[in-house]
Amino acid sequence: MKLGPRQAAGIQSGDKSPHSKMPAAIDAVNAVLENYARRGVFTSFVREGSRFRFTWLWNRPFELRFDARQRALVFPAILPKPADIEKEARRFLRSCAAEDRPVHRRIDPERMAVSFTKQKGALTLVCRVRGGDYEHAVRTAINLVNEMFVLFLNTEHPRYLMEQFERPED
Amino acid sequence: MSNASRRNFLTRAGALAAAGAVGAVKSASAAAGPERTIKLPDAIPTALGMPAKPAAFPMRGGQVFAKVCKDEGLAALFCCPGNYDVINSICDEGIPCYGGRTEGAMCAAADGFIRVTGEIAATSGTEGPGFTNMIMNIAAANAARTPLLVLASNKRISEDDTEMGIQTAFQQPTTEGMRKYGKRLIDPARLYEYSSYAFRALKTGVPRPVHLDFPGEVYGKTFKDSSELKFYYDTARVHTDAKPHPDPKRIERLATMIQKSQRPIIVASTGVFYSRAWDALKKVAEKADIAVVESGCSRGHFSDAHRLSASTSPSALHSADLVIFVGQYCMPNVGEYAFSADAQYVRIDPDAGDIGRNMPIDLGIVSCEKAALEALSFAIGSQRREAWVAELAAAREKFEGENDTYYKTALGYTDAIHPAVMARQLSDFLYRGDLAKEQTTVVAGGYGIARYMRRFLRAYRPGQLCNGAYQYGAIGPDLGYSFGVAAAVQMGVGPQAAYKGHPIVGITGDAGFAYSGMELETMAKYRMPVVMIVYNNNAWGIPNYAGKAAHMYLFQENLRYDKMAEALGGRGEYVTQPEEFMPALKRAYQIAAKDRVPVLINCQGKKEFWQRGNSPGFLGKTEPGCMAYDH
Repeated sequence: MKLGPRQAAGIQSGDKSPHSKMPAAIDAVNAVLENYARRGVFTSFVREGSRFRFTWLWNRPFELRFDARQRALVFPAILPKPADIEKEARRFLRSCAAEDRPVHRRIDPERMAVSFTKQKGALTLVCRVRGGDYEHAVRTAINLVNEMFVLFLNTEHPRYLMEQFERPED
Repeated sequence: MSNASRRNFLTRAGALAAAGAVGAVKSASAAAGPERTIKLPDAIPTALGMPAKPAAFPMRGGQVFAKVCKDEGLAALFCCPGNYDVINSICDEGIPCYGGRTEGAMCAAADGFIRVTGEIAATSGTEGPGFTNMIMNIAAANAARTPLLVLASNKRISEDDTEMGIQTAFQQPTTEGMRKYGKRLIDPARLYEYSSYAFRALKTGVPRPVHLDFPGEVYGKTFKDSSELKFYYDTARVHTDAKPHPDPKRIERLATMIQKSQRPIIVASTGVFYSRAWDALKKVAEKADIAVVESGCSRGHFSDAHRLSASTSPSALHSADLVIFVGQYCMPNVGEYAFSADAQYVRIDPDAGDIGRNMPIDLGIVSCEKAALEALSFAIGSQRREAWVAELAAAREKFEGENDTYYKTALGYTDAIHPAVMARQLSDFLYRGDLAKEQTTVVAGGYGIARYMRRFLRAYRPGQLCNGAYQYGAIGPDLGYSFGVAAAVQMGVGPQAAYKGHPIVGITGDAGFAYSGMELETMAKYRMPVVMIVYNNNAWGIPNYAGKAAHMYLFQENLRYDKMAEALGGRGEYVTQPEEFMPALKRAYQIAAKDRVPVLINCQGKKEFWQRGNSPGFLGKTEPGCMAYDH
């Protein structure tokens, strides 16, 4: 595998064990994510089978798992201890598919369905891919998470970010 | 003059050159008898009315330096006593000078002056305590990339390491990491040469503070003629006003990127202001329907009223597919600006060494911001992006709707005044009342209060809004900034020329007031028409007002900062309920305009407004745009 600029971006290749029933899909997922690392959006990136770990917003670690069985992109426990914001977070997610949202930012339900599941007291984001366009799905999912943090949480829930994500207090 | 004392300085105060006749200030609360009425000593207006007295050889070191300052166009000096040879000489040269109550606040005054004029100003203090009192505000100026000239006297080199007398301090190591250039002047013969170093650093590239300290052997040396000074040339020969121009191929590439983009946006930051590129910016934006969002320590280089402004359209930022940073000296990290993960990034900056830091870029252009925008205006074709413009407008409307909701909710609190009420009504007064919306220059300071104020404050022309806590987050300098901004507006310097003489508005919190509140006296002394709004919530720090540590965050309640203003020669208003704010604001503005005095409006809030369950509560922010202050 050629590394080149990826090394400079902190990209590492990880576990290569056979894991996926959908090698083409996971390769597509990997390619899109790796490109974010090449562009410096992620400051580090490692693939471990169907699990991808990367350093992203505010230099924090993020994880995305590809669930081949469900054809889903999963961000495990992306919102820990969401008690104060759970209702609003679910509202935000619904708003991302709303008709009044610009088309280029609207989640098309025919191409992807997004939901939160609650596991061990945290919200996991599940993006189920419909139609098989994994490149589009990864981009949509990444931008959904991006918007959730830099717009929704940053603007509406600064205290949650302070408490759960160690964002500076003053 | 080498033995100048504080007493000597005061009797020589006639050298002060700040403009404006002043008279006695009466205070309604100073009722201890007519002989005790607060008044200006005659010496002050007399001094202010004296003509300049430029030096000629034989000159002392301080005079030589002052001459350089005059030749280089130093716009103002804000100082406290100390470094006497230098500050008196600068004053004698006819450069506007102001003497305040603390060096820290005067340092902030110089910073505020620069942030709304783009001109270079200086601050000065004595060698030890005076200099170290400036430190917080030098750091704030450094974070804001302010071309601030920091001056301080120093002990004689011959006394190094002896602790002879008082005020032994090694200044240069103290400002390391918070300046662009610094020098302790050692060789008197190189005084002129190093003065040129200082102005070269201040006037070229990305600005930051420059710190010179003057040992006794330098400021006190007498030069009989120019033969005793090295590099004593016309100042135009020791630096250039040439600017780096962009690579035409890169401008062409950017033009292509813009042509292909559906939703391009320019982040117009500090460098746009300092390079005075606002006309070129407007031309580029209008030619190709490029949105513009502001960031930086001052706002207004792209009007919030423009149809392409995204400064009050935070929810649209995530839609941009091409982000062009212009003069963004303080770079955000990934996640700090609300752009999408797929946006392409271009950076236009005079410093190639900084391009690519924090945010990897798709295209870098090394150039003076103005030169790059002018070149770009020729390279791009006309394009209309109606859908993008409509999205900006919808986002703006949504943002105003949110603000309106905050305001209506806040009106429900009647036992104190909520920041949303203050912010909305101030906004109504400044932009939707009798005043021209471009008229009033505002210093947006404080911490919690600023999170509301920034949502409602607008900027319609360059230098209209000074973003107090920008990047360094210092809440204390606000009255210092306000004094400097008031001086700039009273003199009509740079972009303030059209608004010369109008009152300004400063905003701070009760915590911030503590650091620079004595400068109300300086405002009164110089007859500065400042409406100073203090949000008084009886507390500071992040809301954590219960438990054993609570006492460390709480003040005595209902403190009367308004009465302090009156006791210092200004006027005061005390507002405790929502309906009292607007009438108090109108009175304050009228008094400031008519009587040329500062008026403090003490707005009685309560700490509980920030606590959970008290909607709208402690607000977050989206950057860049009107809410930005981190970057």
